[in-house]
Order: sequence, then structure tokens, then C-alpha cells
Amino acid sequence: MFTTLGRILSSGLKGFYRNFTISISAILILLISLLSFASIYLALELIKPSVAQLEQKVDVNLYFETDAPEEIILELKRELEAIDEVASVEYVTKDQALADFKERQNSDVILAALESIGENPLGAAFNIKAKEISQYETISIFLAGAQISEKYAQAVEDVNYNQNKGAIDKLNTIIVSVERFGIAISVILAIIAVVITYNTIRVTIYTARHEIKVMRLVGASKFFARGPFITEGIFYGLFAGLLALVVLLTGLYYAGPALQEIFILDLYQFVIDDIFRIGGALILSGVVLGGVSSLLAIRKYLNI
Amino acid sequence: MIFLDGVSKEYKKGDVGLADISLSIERGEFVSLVGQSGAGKTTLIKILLGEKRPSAGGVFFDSVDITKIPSRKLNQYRRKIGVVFQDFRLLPDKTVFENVAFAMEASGKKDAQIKKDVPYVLKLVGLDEKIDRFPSELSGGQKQRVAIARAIVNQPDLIIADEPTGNLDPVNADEIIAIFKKINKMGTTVILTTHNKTIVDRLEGRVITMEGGRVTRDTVKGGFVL
Repeated sequence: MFTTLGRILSSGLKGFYRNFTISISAILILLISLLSFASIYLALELIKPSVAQLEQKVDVNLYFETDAPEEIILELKRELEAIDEVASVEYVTKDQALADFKERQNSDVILAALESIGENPLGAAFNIKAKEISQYETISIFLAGAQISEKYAQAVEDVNYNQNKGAIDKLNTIIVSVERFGIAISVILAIIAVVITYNTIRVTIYTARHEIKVMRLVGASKFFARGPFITEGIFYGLFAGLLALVVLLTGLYYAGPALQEIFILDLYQFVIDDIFRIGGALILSGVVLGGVSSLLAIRKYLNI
Repeated sequence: MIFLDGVSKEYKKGDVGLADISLSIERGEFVSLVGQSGAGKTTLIKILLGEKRPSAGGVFFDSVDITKIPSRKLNQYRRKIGVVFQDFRLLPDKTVFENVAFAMEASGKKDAQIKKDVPYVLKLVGLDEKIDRFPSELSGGQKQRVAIARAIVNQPDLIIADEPTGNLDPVNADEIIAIFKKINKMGTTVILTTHNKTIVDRLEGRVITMEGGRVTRDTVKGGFVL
């Protein structure tokens, strides 16, 4: 068994370097396929932090009347925090609201006007964040209910969700579309990659079809005749995977800083941090793509 | 050793490859199979190799019906047969040594035996000095000798040679036939198809003549008659 495996391996290796030109073209095709996969994956990773940053900026604000009693406010806060969809409720007290306002308005006239009123004209407020952007709808329904409920109607002045609703919905649509688009493109590219790789390897095997026939006629088992070609396919994938990793790292090393200025993520560092997973995935995809293509391509010529 | 029982082969469009052929070949015979192109010689050989299956009839090799052997097990049957083709069919990426060794590797022989047997058979066919050459560096006659070396290296019971001299000049052709005679003397059954009248007449062995997919003559010590 080991002798057979050893013979298949060594025969595959010999085929690999004796048909150097064919091997190189197969590797290049695989390399392009793998790089497309990697680019899409990284592009999706790249926009993730930007989207997350945008998501962080979205919240729903609830404003209380100036005379809203503290215990009502705290009770509503508890009720809000009990909702699954709510990530956090930031309570801005009347005093805090005034302090924030003063800090923002450094115009003396306004500050003087504020002084002349004599009392704090601002109400307390909640800044509510949802765990996911799609959940603001649920929270807003709850808030709308609270606004007209017997208990809170007196205390709540306004909820600004409806003002933000358009922006939130739009962002939500964009995020969903980007993800769908990315997945669709990946799937299409994957199919193209498999077809092209399969065809390239089929050509290399087509040139060897007589060889396969001769192998069968001198008494080689299917496994023994197929082995060297699958070994070759696996080697194509192995080299293509390694090469893709090198190309990717080199490219990101130079393009990374520029990308980091537009997006937030340092892609080079991102790949380096996850080198074993990303490199492993590249090499494994290459090996599977090369091996399976060979296996499919050789089937036709084995049946004698 | 070989027994064909009413073997017929029809192709898809109704063309007849072989029509009801029955014959037997004994161990140690040297059989020449002659006939014009399209007479069915190659079809018969492909059926003997299990490369094609007959439409009807049985093909027995040492009492085993080879038409019943499943495709994945055919290789074990083929190891009992050495084949030589008109177009040599060497593996172009392998050296002379590797081409011959391949047949032994395929049948799972030990490395030590391969290292011993391959040079021996190459010496037998007179190619011991070309052991590290690639097929593209050899002449037609030399390529055919490599093919013969590959065919005999597993010490098969039967050698099938399909027009082995078809691409060779008369001198090389004679040498190749001489090698087959030598192999036959050592006890191996040989089936040889050919167009070459001189060769058949000089062999003075059994001649099976085919025409239109049928056996028209079968003479124990015959000549080339069409």
C-alpha cells in the first residue's frame, strides 16, 4: 500500500515538473480564482468596521417633559432595559442636559438668556441603542406605546425615532444589500473559478489521455492510473494557495495604509493576525479545487 | 488457453465488427491474424483486452469469461497479457527505464525486483544502453523494442501484438519478429496481427485469416492468403 502511494506521489511530482508549462498555466488560473475569493472576503471584512461605526452613531432619543418625575423616568428605563432588543439606555439627567448644552453654546447671549430664565428649561432624555439596526423598529413601537400610555403620557415629550427613521431604514437596506451582493458575487466567482480550473486541468489531462489508456492496458488499476494526475492537481492547488498568500500579503503591505485611511481596518495587520486561518483556507481551497477538478476531468478517460 | 464462443460485435449504426467468431488458441502457440483493414482484427484484439465488450458470445481466458469481469477488476486480468501496438504507445514523460518499470509498478512488484528485471528485459531486446533516454530520443524500431520489453517484463502468459511492424522498415521489422519468436520459444503464447505477407510466410505457423468480421481461413501451418 505504501509502495503504491509512494509511486503515485513520485509519479505525480515528476509529471508536475516535466510538464512545467502546463503546470504553470494551471497554477496561474487557480491563483486568479483564489485571489478573487480572497478579495471578496477581504472587501467584506473591510466595510464591516465602517458599517459598525455608522451603526454606532444611530440611536433613538426620548425626551422628557421638564417636570417629569424622576421615579417615572427610572421606571421607564428599567422597562426599556428589560427589552431583548435594547443594547443600552443612556440616561441624560436634566442637569447633565444643561451642562452639555452650555458646553456646546459658548455664545454669551444665549448663556445670558439662559441665566435670565432662572430655572433649567431642559428636560431629561434617553439615548437608546439597539443591538442590531433592524431592531429599532421594535423599540420604536414600544416607545410609541409608552408615549400614549396612561403612566408615561404625562412625562414623555417626544420620541425622535421618526425623524431618524428614514436614515436608519436606508442604512439598513444598504448593509443588507452589500452583504447579499457580496455573497452573490462570491457564489458566481466560485462557479466561474471551478469551471475555469476544471477546464484547464481537463486540457492537461486531455493531452495525457493516451497515457491513461496505456496505463490501464498495461494493467494499472483505476486508482493507480488516476493517482498521479490527482497528485498533480493537488500540487497545482498547493502552489497556487501559497502563491496567493504571498501575492495577497505583498499587495496589502503596500496598499494597506492607503486603504486604512478610507476604511478603518488595517487589512495587512488583519491578515497577519489571522494568517493561519486565512492562509490555511487559501491553500485548502486550492488543494480541493485542484484535486476535485482533476478527479472530475480524468473520469472520462478511465473507463477502459 | 483462449476460447471464443460465438463472439459478435455490432456497432451503434448497425455496422458489423465481428460476426459469430468461434476459435480456440492453445498455450505456446504463435498465431498470425491476417486480413485487410476493416476485417475485424483490431476489434477482436480489443475484445481480448477487455477494451471493448462483445455484443454477443463469450470470451474465455483459462476458463474465465472475461466479458463478465467488471471494469475495475479488468486490470488484474490485463496483467496476464502483454500488449504491443503499432504506434508503440509509450508514456512520453517517462524514460525507457520508467516506461518498462511502470508495468511492474502497476502490478505492485517490489522495487528490488524492478531494479533487477527491467535492465534484464531491456538487454533482451537490445536496448540496455538507452535506459535513461526518453521515447522522443529513440528511433521507431527502438521504441517498439521498449514496448516489447514493457509487454514481457511481467512474464505474461500471452503477448498480443497489433501490427507491431506496421511503422517499421523491413530490417527493423525482421528484428522485432525475431524477438517475438524468441519470446514464443520461451513458452509465451503470441498473437500477432499483420498486413505483411513476407513475415507471415516466413513464420510458418498458424494463420487465421479474417474478412468482413468473419474467420475465413484457419490453417495450422499456413501462409498469407487473401
